[in-house]
This record gives sequence, structure tokens and C-alpha cells, in this order.
Amino acid sequence: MKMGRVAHSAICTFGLVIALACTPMLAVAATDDVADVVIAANVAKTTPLAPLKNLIVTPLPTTPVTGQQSSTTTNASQAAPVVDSGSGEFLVLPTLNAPVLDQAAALSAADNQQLSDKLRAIHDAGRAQIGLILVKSTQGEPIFDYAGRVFTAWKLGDKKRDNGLLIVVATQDRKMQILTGYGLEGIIPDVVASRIIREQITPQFASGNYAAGLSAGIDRIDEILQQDPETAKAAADQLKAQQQSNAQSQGGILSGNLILLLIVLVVIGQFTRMVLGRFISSTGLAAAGVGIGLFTGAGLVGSLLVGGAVFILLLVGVLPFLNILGGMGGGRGGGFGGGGGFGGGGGSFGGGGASGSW
Amino acid sequence: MMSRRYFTAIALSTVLLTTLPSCGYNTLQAKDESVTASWSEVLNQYQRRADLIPNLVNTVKGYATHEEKVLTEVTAARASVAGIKATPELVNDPVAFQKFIDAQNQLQGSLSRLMAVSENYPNLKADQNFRDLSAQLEGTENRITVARNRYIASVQDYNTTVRQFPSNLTAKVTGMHTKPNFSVVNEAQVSQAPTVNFSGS
Repeated sequence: MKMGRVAHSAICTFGLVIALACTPMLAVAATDDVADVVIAANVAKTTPLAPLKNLIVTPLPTTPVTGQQSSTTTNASQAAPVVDSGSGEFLVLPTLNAPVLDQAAALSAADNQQLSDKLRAIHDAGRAQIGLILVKSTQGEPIFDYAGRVFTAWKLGDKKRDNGLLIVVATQDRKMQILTGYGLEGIIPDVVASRIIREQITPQFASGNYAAGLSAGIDRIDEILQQDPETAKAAADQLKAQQQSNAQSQGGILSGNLILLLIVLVVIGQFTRMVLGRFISSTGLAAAGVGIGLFTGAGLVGSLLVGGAVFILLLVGVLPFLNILGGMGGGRGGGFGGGGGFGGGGGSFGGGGASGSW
Repeated sequence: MMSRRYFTAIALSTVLLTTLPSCGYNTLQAKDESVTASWSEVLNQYQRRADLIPNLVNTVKGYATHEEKVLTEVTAARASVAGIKATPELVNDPVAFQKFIDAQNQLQGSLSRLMAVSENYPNLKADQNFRDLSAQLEGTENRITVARNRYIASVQDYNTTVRQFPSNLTAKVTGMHTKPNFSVVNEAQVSQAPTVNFSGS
């Protein structure tokens, strides 16, 4: 322990010397050896990263490829139009706002609805978040690269379980790709994904029946997900937690009282903070909240929650706090309320999945 | 006397604790660790590919009896990859790193030749075992691509910090050097390597 501390202080002293010497040593930094410069040049050349591609693409004019594209489906019209630059540039990625994005206009409205319902049901049951996108062509970009960019942008699946899955179909290229999130790699290994493509999906695609192939493929994926005991357990846990939070927010008498207490204390706090200052009033009222909560028999956890909430609300102020809350949203698996959105929940992938052609 | 010395010590260490991070010491450590982690993932996926090869070679051998040359090439390439000790410390030794990457690229090249040759054997292509293996190989190649991209990004991030002022001074004193990345020559080879895709029929 003592030795460690001695070593640490030695390093620290070193650090101070460096800190003091920082300015005069500028000259040293400037005369770095040539080898480093070469490496830097290499690094600069060998990093074809996704954001870079996006940068190149965005300034291009965003003209829709065909007129019929937006007429057939409701979802496609909301998405960013396909860029047909004709110069081998990459496609602009659409935003994820529905489970099915049919930019190739390959599905009828009814089929689109049916597939969307299926994917939403799987997501609602907490088994996985599956996204489906159909494009006419990836314009020369390998379909895996395109799919990877889409997955990275959409962050399918929730952050904890990484249960995202993406199906990409390029109708004119006659190619498709399934990407599995990290959490699904074990349940749907590449071999299984490849078999689903080969046995359920592409045979239908060969006869131009996209909806039937996708429907069969998604059914098979769902079947596998349902058979997996761990997925079933995780999904059940998620549902249970959801129901509990629903029950709580509908409010027993107890939690309703606590919320009332919270509101009263915060209102009082708005006055006391003018007299006593922010810190003292928030601390005092937080303590009062805990005390009142305990006294009225609200339970330790509830009382502490109220106390903590009062403290934070008064310290930060109500409006900034709401802003922070808004910024934190989306942590849980991409819930979709009102507008029927289908946002990703922070999932990531490592290259798992399979491709196919027909 | 004693207490005054104590005070000086505390004051000094406070100054150090505030100045040290400003010279990028902690950032350097964190980025170094992230390079190691992303390199481990690259190694992990290379290992996964190497593990697939014996099965693949055996399956192909059963059908493609006339492709002795390609098969031995793959086996030899795999052996040379296995001969290099792949450790996380490899990133700190540019020469060994280059050697390792060359061997992996060699393996990738011979594997893609093997897959190209197997196109000529319809019975092999119809074999369920071969289909599964090629699906696994495809997935593994994709994982390698992703892992390598993430390594490139983390090395770029690290190297930038090592070379930027003032953290470059800290790096010099603590003996942290820029780490090797996948160089241009290799990148050209890599981009030529055909993707393995046999799932269609």
C-alpha cells in the first residue's frame, strides 16, 4: 500500500513537471519523427467510417426515385426519399418510424399492415425488436454494409438485451440480409438465419411474392424466439415490470398521496427558495418530505423517493429537470406511444446474421 | 513543523491531481484500454474463423477430390496463422502485428479461392453441412469486418490523443506510442477479398 502511494506520488511529480514544461516543449512536439507522420497518414486513409460516408451523401439532392413510391404505402412517405445520384454514392438512410419501411413499393398496403402488426406484436411481447426495410437497390454497396449502417443508425433492440434484428431486402439486386443484434446471436445463429432465408423466405421471393416470404420468415423467427426459454423469461419479466408500473401509475391511494405531498412540497419550495436560497430550502424540504412520508406510513422507499424528488426538483428547478428527463427518454426498448413510432432502444450488432439471394 | 509539511504535501497533491488529467494521462489510459478491448474482439473473431476451417476442409474434401492444391493451401495458411501467438500485446509491436495481419490475409485469400472452387461442385453446394459451414464462415467474415472497423476507429482515436498537444508530452514520458493500424497495402487486399456468399440456390 505504502509502496503504491510512493509510486503514485512519483508519477504525480512527473506529471507536474510535464504540466510545467508543457509550454516550452511545444518545439519538441513539432519536431516529431517522420515515422509517426507516415502512420498518421495511413490512419487517415484507412478509416472509411460510416459517419464519413453520411457526410459525403447528405449534400446530394434528395429526389425520390419514382412517383409511385409514396402512393402505395403510408410508411414510405414519411421516410427520407431514396437518393438516386447515379454516381455510385451510398443511399441516405431513412429514419426508423415504423417496423416496416417499404421503399421499393413491393408490398401492398394490406400486406404492409399485416407485417407491421406482426412485428409490433413481437416487440410488444418483449421478444425482440425486428425492423424490416425493402429498397430497390443498394446502388453497388454490399448489402451487408448497407444493413450494418441501417442497424447502427436505428439501434434496434433494447440496450440491455440487445435483441434487435434487421431484415433488409433489395428487390432489384435480388439480395437480402438478416442482421442479428448481439443478444440474438445465440438464439438465432448465422446458420439458423441462413436456413430461414433459404427455406422460408427466398423460395417465395423467386416467384415475386415478397409478402408471403417475409411473413413466413418472420413467423419462423418468432417461433424460434418463443421456444427459447431465456427469451421467454426475459419477455415475461419485462411484461411483469410493465404491468407493475402501469398499476402503480394508475395509482393506489398511497402513491396518489405521495404525489400530492411532492407537489405541495415543491410549491412551498418555490417560496422558501427565495427566502432561504436554493440549497437550504431544497435540503430542508426534502428532509420534511421523508419525515412526513414516514410519519404517515407511506413506507421507507416511497418516502425516500419523495424526499429525493423534492431535493432534485428544488435544486435544479422544475423546468430544467423536465428537460433532463426528456433527454433521458428512450433508454428502455424503444417504446412506441401515440404516433405509432418504432424507435430503436440502443441495441448494437457485431456482424451476426446471414445473407441470401434468389 | 510537521503539520506544515503535511499541508504542503496536500497542497502539492491537489495541484497534481488537477494538473495531471489536463495533460491527458487518464484519457490516454482509457483510450489505450479501449484499443486493447477492440483488438481482443478482432482476435476473437479471427480465432472463430480458424476454428471453422478443419470442418470446412473436410466437407469440401469429400466432394471436390481434384482440388488438392487449394485445400493444402488453406490448411497451410491456417497452420501459419496458428503458429503466430496471438496476444493482446500484439498491438504494441508493429512488426509482429504486421506479420500476424499478413498471415490472416493470406488465410482469407486462400479461403476465398476455396469457396470459389467449390462453386464448380453442385453436389457440394447442395450439401446441408457445407451450406451451414459457409453461412457460418460468411457471418464470421462479417464479424471480422465489423471488429476491424471498430479497431481502426479506436486506434485512430488513441493515436490522435498520443500525437496531440499536450497529451503527446505525457505519452512520451510514460512511454506510450502510436499503435499500428491496418495499413493501406493491406486495406487494398482486404477490399479485393470476395465476400463469401453461397446461401442462394
